[in-house]
Amino acid sequence: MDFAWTESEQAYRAELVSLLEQQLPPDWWDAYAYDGPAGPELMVHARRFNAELAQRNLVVRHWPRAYGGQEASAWSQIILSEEMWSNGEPRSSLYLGANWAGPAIMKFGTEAQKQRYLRPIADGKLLWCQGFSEPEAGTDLANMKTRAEPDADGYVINGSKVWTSYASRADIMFLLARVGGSGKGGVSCFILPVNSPGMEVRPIPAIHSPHDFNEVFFTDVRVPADALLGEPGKGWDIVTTILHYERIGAARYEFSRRTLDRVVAHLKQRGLFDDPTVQAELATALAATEAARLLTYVVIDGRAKERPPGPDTYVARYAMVQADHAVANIASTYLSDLLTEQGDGMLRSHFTSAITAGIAAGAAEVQLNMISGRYLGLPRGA
Amino acid sequence: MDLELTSDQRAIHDAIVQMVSNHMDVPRSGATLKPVEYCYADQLDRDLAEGEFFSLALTEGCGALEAALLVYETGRSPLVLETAGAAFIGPLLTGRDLPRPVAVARLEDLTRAVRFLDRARTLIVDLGDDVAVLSTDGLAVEPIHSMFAYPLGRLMTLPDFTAAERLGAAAVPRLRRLWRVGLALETAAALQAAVDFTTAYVKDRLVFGRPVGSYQAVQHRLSADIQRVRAVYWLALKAAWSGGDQDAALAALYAQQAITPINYDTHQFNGALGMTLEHTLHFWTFRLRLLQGEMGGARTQAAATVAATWAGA
Amino acid sequence: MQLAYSSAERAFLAEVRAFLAPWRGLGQYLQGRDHAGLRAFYKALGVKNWLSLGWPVDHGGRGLPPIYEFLLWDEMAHARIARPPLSAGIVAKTIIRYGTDAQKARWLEPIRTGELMFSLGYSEPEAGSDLASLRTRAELGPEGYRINGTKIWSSSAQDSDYLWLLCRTGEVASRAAGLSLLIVDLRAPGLRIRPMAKMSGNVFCELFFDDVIVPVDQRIGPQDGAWKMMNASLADERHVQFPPKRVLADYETVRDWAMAHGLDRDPVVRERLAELAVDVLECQAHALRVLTAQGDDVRASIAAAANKRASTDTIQAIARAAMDFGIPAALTTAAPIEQLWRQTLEESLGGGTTEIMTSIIARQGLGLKA
Ligand SMILES: Cc1cc2nc3c(=O)[nH]c(=O)nc-3n(C[C@H](O)[C@H](O)[C@H](O)COP(=O)(O)OP(=O)(O)OC[C@H]3O[C@@H](n4cnc5c(N)ncnc54)[C@H](O)[C@@H]3O)c2cc1C
Ligand SMILES: Cc1cc2nc3c(=O)[nH]c(=O)nc-3n(C[C@H](O)[C@H](O)[C@H](O)COP(=O)(O)OP(=O)(O)OC[C@H]3O[C@@H](n4cnc5c(N)ncnc54)[C@H](O)[C@@H]3O)c2cc1C
Repeated sequence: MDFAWTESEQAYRAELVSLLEQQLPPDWWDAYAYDGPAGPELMVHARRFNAELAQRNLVVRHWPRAYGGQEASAWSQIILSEEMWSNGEPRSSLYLGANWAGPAIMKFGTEAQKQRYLRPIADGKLLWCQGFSEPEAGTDLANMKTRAEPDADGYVINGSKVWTSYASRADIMFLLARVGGSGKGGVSCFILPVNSPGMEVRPIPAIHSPHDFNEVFFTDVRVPADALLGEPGKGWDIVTTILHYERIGAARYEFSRRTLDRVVAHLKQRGLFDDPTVQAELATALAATEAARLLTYVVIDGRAKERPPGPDTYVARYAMVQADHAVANIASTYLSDLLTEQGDGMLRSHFTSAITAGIAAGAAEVQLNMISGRYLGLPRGA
Repeated sequence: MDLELTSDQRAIHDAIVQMVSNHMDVPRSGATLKPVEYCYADQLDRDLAEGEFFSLALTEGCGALEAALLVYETGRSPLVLETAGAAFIGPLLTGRDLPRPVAVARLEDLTRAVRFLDRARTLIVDLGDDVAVLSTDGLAVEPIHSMFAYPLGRLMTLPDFTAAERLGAAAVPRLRRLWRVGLALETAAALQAAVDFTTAYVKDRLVFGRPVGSYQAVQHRLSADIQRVRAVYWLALKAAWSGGDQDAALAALYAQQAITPINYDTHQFNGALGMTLEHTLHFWTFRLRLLQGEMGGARTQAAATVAATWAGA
Repeated sequence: MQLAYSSAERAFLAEVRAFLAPWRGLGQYLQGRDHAGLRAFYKALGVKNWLSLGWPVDHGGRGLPPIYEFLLWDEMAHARIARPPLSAGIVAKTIIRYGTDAQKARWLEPIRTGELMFSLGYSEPEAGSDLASLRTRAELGPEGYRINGTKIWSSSAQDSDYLWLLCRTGEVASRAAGLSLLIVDLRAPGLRIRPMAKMSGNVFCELFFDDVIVPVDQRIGPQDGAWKMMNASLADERHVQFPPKRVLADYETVRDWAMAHGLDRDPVVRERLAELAVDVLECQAHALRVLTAQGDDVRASIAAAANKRASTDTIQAIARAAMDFGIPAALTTAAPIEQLWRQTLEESLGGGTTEIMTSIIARQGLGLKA
């Protein structure tokens, strides 16, 4: 057992740190990243930033060489996520492609699909969005209704998606639509451009950001047959794989950890830091971020050893949510004025992101259900 | 980074687990109604000593992590055995094996209640500005009776520390680091045992025609609890590995804060049975209650965490 | 709305306090280990006619509204003397409602005078929260009911005279519809009592019935008709189930102890004590809700569940806080703080667990379906 980073991992992190220093403007948090990775200024900036990453071969290091990667270990992927997420995710939704859409294409795609998508992902060219949730299908994703009817040239899609982050500024969507029956059985995966004719994207302002959520309507959207990933009606396996990567794709604990430092700086400035009650809360929050970190590393360790994903993922995700809340609660209790538009962009971004942590990427209650069943082996309820 | 045990560590771990598993039965309070305060694992102590497990920390090729495994695995038994002082804190602090059991205490607690003191052969004292290591021979120790499932004792009068072996001021932070890690390991073990025990119980216990453990209200609490337990385990091992101030303080803090919800939930879910001294649960939960107050409790660990993290201006 | 006691109530309260003064601390943590003392005390209450404050006048009672019983037992909890006895509460009130004239004549008077102590025989090893699954059988024969089975967790059974027994007279699968209530002499042949040590340092008992005979005239109410009677008696006792001054007493113990040791100079301790003081007030508010909801069964049931849940949460938080502030001396059995902690652990189980209380609030209060 060894908790140390290797020299090459340390060098990798140092490279990322210096790149971020060069590429992010000094008013990064306050002018770009205050609204999270779907903010309009950030998404514009991301296109430049991603090109820089690509130039340095930093987008998909963990991928196989054949697809533009360097077969770096799962550890380098988490290092990348730590550095990016804690800086407000300057890649914006590029990471969806690098973390799970690309790997899903590698695993389930045709040769032509691999040719078509993997290189552009590695080159940092595509901003993705994820069309999974629907008004009647959130946690219960298999209840989704959006349909893809086969026709002579491919499929005709009708229906709607909701809570689709990034959609109004993204290039490409990973969509779930139903071919055939109901339930998990009919779910199928499609990849299509966001500007496909018949697709309408309507932004939904939300408490965490005015720019993140969208509703997406599909009216007779025609896609070619090769927009389908895998086989029709067999998309659920792909979804399961994706969700596993998505749950701890973002190293949220690192953002919480660094936000806590910022909180401390403000508290010191305001003379609140010496209060023992405040200190107890700070230490407790720090313990939560470091617990989430280690529980995430347990998952990454399994990944690095190519073990099949286990229930540790849910434990880690739940711990991350706790850590987000612990830090956000301190900020909102003692520094609420800094969570306003005139406040501190980093604190604001963290706070709003923490609000959603227990819902996005699988609600906290769902993680607990999974821990009950898969980790503790408790019997199913009625 | 590699979070799996090496094959040598695995072998050591398995050997310890094997020995501990032979010592999981505790005598219960029976017809006499006289509470069994605790049950000391004397035989396990001898078995482990014979295999030289108490010296793991100082064994060539081994170290703090291996000793940590010993503390953790022995801590899962409902029987009690002093390993944190004898196998972890003592050797790593002094560089030698000390006569065991080893009690560790802050000066101000010596005349109150100290874990293991009534059986200890060595006493390590945090004097605030120095660390004293002394034999308990000739100390006036009074046993203290309690329900806390540990042997406890206190000193009737304070000894003359000037005559004792002193490790110097620099040893104070070292002692506190090691002590915090030992505390976190012991806590992790008892928490895990209490949750495992309860998980097994709620799978079997039927109410309204279904297992207690099939109610989501129960499931979610136990699931949150196992997250806490795993966090304590990993924080403690990381701290054992790194030997850093911050890691040690964090591990002890998280550990002591995890005790309240887990003690509550495990007792709730065992129902009235868990209130009897005929059930095993309290051998862990009561130990935990005492561990929760050690070294000044969570607030002291929080202060140490803050000092180790944000000390500068 | 009238948020003050009437002058008659205030006068009664003053009389109660004066009367209770010499008995303070009799049952250290309301567990009543000193059984002879407790019996003497209940007899003294009987002399005052205070065990029957709420009974109808024509049954030897005082016919007073529930607030009087509340005031009495609330003060009693504050003075750590005793809990309301099962005999004068559930037992007597059920007999008054459902008993025959002969049963009333036989049982009410010795209960009123504090002569008879009852213990509760509901739970079984396989039936706790799910009481309707209980299996202890009573077969009706020529000599009366013949009881076989096991009861468990009966508090004070080793020191009581009679058991208020819930048992199965119907089909095995009859659940709540096949249960009857019997009064069983705890010295009856065939009945073995096994005391068990519990964490609080006290005992509760396991009871083994091996062909125990109970005369038919010791069945209260109709055969197989116990469930409805139990619900009625539960409703009768809600206002005294968990008096808020028990919570206050625990708080004061911890506060005084903290002050005596100078711990209150610590700002963290002060803050925690202040938070707990607010929780204590919340419990008092819950208790008042229970009182004002009397007569409206659903509202009262929700209020009582909330009161039990909040009160037991709070006393546990109080005891835990004390342990957290605690100098290690607080942790050994000699100190009352530690004893308080162990005793409070049981309160979230006995009398209906916190999870069951929460389910009641969810179902009846919020209208959530399982
Ligand atoms: C910030 C953010 C970004 C998002 N981005 C995207 C996106 O890009 N693409 C996309 O497709 N979706 C996205 N979502 C949607 C997200 O996946 C869903 O919100 C999530 O799956 C929950 O679904 P729901 O909101 O419909 O809640 P529901 O499923 O209706 O759940 C409501 C509540 O019930 C609880 N619950 C549900 N089932 C159970 C159960 N079995 N046991 C116990 N409790 C249960 C939940 O935990 C939750 O608390 C995003 C959401 C957020 C908050
Ligand atoms: C101090 C004390 C004194 C007592 N005195 C008496 C007495 O004098 N006479 C007597 O008859 N009994 C007595 N009891 C027994 C008491 O009534 C039972 O303990 C109680 O009903 C719970 O039953 P159980 O212990 O079997 O737990 P179980 O019913 O087995 O419950 C185990 C756990 O499951 C939970 N649970 C059960 N059902 C659900 C559900 N539907 N949803 C979610 N969670 C659930 C419970 O809350 C609990 O946490 C006493 C108990 C105590 C602790």
